[in-house]
Amino acid sequence: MTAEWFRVWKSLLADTDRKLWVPYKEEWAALKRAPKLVEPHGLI
Amino acid sequence: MNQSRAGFWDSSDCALLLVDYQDSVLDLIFEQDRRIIELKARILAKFASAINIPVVLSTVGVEMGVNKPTLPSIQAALPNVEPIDRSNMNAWEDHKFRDAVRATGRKRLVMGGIVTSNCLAVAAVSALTDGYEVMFIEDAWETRRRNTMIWPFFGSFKLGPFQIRQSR
Repeated sequence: MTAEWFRVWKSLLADTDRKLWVPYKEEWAALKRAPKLVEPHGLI
Repeated sequence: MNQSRAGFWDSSDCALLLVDYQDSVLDLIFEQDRRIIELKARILAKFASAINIPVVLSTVGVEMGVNKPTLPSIQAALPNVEPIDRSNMNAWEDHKFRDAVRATGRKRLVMGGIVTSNCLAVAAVSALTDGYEVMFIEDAWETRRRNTMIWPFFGSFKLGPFQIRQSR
């Protein structure tokens, strides 16, 4: 996605991407720092 | 499709298909943080919505009362998309789902789904058989156990710029 949307750095799409991408990276990083896995149980 | 950039998938070429992002399906995931799967699917939905990529959202077993609906956060990211509920595992076997995909007019499908080995894989293969090009979102899916995945099978998929490999 990034490859496409930043093809033209001044495009409106690039601006849209930045607005969504930055908060996403922050949220993702927070989850990666404190991962929460569920142990398998029952029939899997 | 813009043939001059045939190697890239343009937003005007493709549709996003999100299959079975439901609590009851997410409960089957043990080898990845479920919150991360939800986050990535949610952001993907927001991105697609922001740049006008048509989205087809599907659930399984909701009308039957077996499963819960689409995760609220993902549904909230797609307020104008009505989920297509099914009673079969292979979304492509559901005519409402196929009709919705056809209605997008797109032949390149970006697919995300859980659990991958069932809900995503079978629909992707069926779509390929029907002449669509398919990519799946590598880090917005997960399966029950990775060692039960059919990796050689996935090796036959076309992969491209929609992957966000470093994020896993």
